[in-house]
Amino acid sequence: MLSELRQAVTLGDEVTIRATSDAPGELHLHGYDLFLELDPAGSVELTFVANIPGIFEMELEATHDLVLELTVSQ
Amino acid sequence: MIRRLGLVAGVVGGSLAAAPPAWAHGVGGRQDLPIPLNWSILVAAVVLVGSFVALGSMWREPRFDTQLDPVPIAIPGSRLLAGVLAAGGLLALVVALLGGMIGSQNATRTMSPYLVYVLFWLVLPFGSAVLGNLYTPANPWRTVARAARMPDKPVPPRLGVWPAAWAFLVFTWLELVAPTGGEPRTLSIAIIAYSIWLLGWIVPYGADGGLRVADAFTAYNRVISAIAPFGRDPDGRMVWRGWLRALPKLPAWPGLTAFVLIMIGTVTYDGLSGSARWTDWFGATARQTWFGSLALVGVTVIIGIAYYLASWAAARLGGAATSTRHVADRFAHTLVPIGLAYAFAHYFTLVLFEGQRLASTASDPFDRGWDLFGTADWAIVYWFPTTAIWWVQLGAIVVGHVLGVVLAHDRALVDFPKRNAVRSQWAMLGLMVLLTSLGLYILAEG
Repeated sequence: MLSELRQAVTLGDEVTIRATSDAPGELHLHGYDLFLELDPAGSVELTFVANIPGIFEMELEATHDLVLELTVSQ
Repeated sequence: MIRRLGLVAGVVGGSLAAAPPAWAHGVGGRQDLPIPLNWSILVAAVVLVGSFVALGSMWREPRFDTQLDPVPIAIPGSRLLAGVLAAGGLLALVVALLGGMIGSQNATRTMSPYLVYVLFWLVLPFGSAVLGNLYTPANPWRTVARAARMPDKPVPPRLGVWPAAWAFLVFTWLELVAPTGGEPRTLSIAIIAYSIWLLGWIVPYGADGGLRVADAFTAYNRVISAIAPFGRDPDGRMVWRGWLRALPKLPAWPGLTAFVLIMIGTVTYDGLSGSARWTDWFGATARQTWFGSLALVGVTVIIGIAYYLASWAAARLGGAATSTRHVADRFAHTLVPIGLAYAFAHYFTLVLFEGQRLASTASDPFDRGWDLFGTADWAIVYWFPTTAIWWVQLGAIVVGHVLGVVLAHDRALVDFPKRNAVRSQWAMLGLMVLLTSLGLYILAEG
């Protein structure tokens, strides 16, 4: 079972998500509809501006494991 | 199988310029709702059913679908305003066209995506819903065609607004499905292709006829502006006619029903395709262009089928000798406030926030390091309170559907024997409750 990270940011912040994993896969940040391709060989990054307020879940696309809950508040 | 996943998320900087193009999927995200979604849906359903019951007992004569009594009004400087709109429309077209040719391809630092997807696509129609049709005077193709004195010729009536409806579907496809729909170069190509399309209709039928038949945005703004209390009489004079009064008077153009259904269906697709449930169902396939194209059309067709089923029920229960198709056409205008409400609820934050980039990119429209007006470094100010967003969305959806129910009841009093008017609308009420719930679900889960 993968653990879940909770992170709060402010609307307008530039957010970076960095991920390492032991197997290939894909992360999906819902709402923003952004995807991050995991690479067992190294760390991968996703940078975006948090321009939509709300609570957003990031899931492991294949298993729907919730890995991150991102809160974008004002 | 992933067993170990290291994840770090954090803020690397304050408001910067490099945002993802938000129009890729409108504005979505599971919101931090001030009241739970279930309650919102319940409240909306109660308001709708309550309005329906109240209409049945208190609204016994048609009030909208009656003779219009427009009052001429003089708006000082309205000719000047029309001139400014025309000049602005031409300038915007030229800037958007050049964006893909001489500008950088950075979609968030070039003006053309904001001109197309915020100003042209959202701000103008929202303004038209309140102030009356702003698009017709601003329409650059109309300005050019009029200057060229293209002769007007009668348009075959069967065309109606069918070509405009197809053009509207193609535009929403470009916005919501096409992989590079937000890039300046794509927009330049689209503008050229669209200008050729319009020319193909303006040459045989003249500026007014050609644009009425084939220009998606003429039809869109025409339909939306029927909500506004201001308008023009057949002689072109400004009149006050009252809110919503022009909607029942929309001409019964062939294709208008399809046009309104496409308006609603495409926004619904936008919301659905951004929801978590959608990716749960369809996974990576959902990002394929072919799938998005099919789904865009599919969602629209499903909405259309639901509407025709409700029309079929109305024809059966209404007790007037009439066909499903005729009822569907006669009630199409009642869907217009719903279409506007969907668009507004989905996109108003896009206008409020991303719309501010119109100011920063105006100083440097082609991302060449200019600073024409000293606004190039302006960052987006997220001034609208987060908690108020849901209230605006909930309000827009509920008001849109209540207006739909009111207009439908009004039309039923005209088209059906009065004793059957209420029951003719049972299925339509069911559809409204369904659409409201779906709309709210999409907004909350999108």
